[in-house]
Amino acid sequence: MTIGRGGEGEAGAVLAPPDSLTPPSAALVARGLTKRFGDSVAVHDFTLAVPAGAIYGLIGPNGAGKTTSMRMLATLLEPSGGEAWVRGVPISGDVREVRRQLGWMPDFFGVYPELRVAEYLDFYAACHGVPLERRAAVANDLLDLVDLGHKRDAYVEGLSRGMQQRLGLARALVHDPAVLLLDEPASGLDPRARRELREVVRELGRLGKAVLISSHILAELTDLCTHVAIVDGGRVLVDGPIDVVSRRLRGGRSVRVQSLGQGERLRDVLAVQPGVSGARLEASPRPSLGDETPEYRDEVLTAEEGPSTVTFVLDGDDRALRDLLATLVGAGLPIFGFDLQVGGLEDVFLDVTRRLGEGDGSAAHGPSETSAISGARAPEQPGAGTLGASGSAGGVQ
Amino acid sequence: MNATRHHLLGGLLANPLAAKELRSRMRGPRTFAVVTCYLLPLGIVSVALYMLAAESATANVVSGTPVGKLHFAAVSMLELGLICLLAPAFTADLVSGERERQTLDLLLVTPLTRWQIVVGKLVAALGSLLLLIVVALPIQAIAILLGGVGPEELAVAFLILVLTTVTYGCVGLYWSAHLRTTRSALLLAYATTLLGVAALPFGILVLLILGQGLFGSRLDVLGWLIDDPSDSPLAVQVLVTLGQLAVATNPPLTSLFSAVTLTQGKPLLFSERVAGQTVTFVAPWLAFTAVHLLAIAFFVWRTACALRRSAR
Repeated sequence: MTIGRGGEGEAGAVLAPPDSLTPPSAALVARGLTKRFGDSVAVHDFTLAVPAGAIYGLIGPNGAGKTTSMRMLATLLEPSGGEAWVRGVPISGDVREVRRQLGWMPDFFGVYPELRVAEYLDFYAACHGVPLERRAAVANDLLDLVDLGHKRDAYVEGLSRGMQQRLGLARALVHDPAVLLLDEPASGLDPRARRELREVVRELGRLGKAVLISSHILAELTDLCTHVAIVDGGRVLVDGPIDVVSRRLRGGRSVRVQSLGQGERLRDVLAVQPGVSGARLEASPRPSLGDETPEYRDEVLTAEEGPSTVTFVLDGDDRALRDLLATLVGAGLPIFGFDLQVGGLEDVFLDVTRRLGEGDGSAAHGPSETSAISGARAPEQPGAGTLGASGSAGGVQ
Repeated sequence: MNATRHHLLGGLLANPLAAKELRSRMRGPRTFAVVTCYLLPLGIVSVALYMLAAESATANVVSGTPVGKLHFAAVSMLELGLICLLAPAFTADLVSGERERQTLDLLLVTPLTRWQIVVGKLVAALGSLLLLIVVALPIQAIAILLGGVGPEELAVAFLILVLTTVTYGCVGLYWSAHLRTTRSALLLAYATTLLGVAALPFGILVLLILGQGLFGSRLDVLGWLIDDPSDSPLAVQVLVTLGQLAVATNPPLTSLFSAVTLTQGKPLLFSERVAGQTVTFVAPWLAFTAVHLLAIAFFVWRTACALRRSAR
């Protein structure tokens, strides 16, 4: 899957970022990062690139090595091997410059109980060298961004957990970093606070920040991330744009079509289209009231009468999707919904780990033409498209 | 030179950590309470001695001069004791407290250098401690009014107090950076302080008691170590220098010996006949200053090292 596997990222090697790993928009590049604690390997050959504007989800179970990787990228932990670059600056080199470019939000919230919210931001802005005359404006803007403007004079300690998390995000932004590392930012938040945090992160992506966000709660990232890297046993199992990853794992793109009636015909038409596989007619939606009455049973809409949903996997690009839709409409099918299923990350993650568990490394790494890293590195490396060939399948812990 | 000084001063004042810590320490009643608790025993001792002096003068038992010295010695030693109690307490949480509050990593990912972090932390904590010494100066200076103590002695006592404060403050900081919890840092800081302040006087006391048996009626360590000092003048100088160094590590003994040499009007470097040999001595407070500046540099350096990017 990666360049540098199987030795190039070994301990002590300080390598210049190869061109293939540094597309112009890649704000954060990690190559072969490794961390050993005594005999145990916490992170092995961690390689990915986060383009500017991307929200890159780092997902994996507890103990997968997400936080250790984040701490290495944040210059808090010395890697045992490999290298990373933040906007071209190596983390083993000018650490202060790297820190100027990085905003880090850990999975905990450090509190100075004696400080008020505005003072808290002012303090970290000062630590980051923001000029005195700009600090008040920066604090106000950030408090507005995270919707804490009304709490600027409150003591930090008195804020709710959700507010503290949002303040932590504002803290990570005081110096306007190009790269954001968010380690489990939504842990312990209620659904409303999680949603608010997601909105802020999405906005940051729109502002062109490269965001690397970790979580073991996959649902948190499903609607948020543009890219995803699945980590387990201290290594990146698969990474790339989220739909590409999903497509690779499922042998294509998951599509859902909804029609008003003629569900079975829809399924049959789809089944014979080129590139389509696994066409399946879902059960029709049932009315929400009265569904247990005998009268209702008589009125259950069949797939030929009521709204029907067919899901399938399409092995093709956007043009193939467009052509398929035209074919369906042309066939006179009453289509009212046609959408790509990004797919629950949970399914993707379970797919990857299950296939690795079954020894099917190739499942995780098919061709990756649009992946920021993989697209560049996969073709040149013998066997780079498979975990097994890159020597990592056996190392999954 | 001016540019460098301006840069250093500017850097110190611009240290956001020092500014935050000072603001936090001054916020709330804590500083006021500490200053009060610090001045109260000093005031009580001072008033008691003043009353004693007044009574003595009436009874014509002692002249004012020794009472002034007694006042000065008592207040200085009490202050020294209080500083030794407070300095570790003020600094033993500086780094471990950040660790416990989970704010250390947040500091370490800022572009602040580890030196700036250490200096910022120290400036704030030591600033509070030095404030105590400064506000107690008038009580110490009463001794000058009582007589027998000059400004020179007051200045030396002030210097010893300041250096003791900074050194044991740095000891607290050192342990705070090396241990995970404030509790263990505080324990070791107090143990180190006790060792530095009380071990040598206690050892000498033990030697004095044992000396009754070992050396007869007087403490003759030199005679015990060297059979015939007249044969080895270098050995005598080395032993005396080691003895001076030992005294220079200890604030109470340095205060005592400094008081003696200042009363005798000794210069910074002077010679004395010891065991038939002419031996060179350095003013005790000068040796103390050198030793403690070295210790401060060592502890600050090791603290900064502990804040390096973690390998574990």
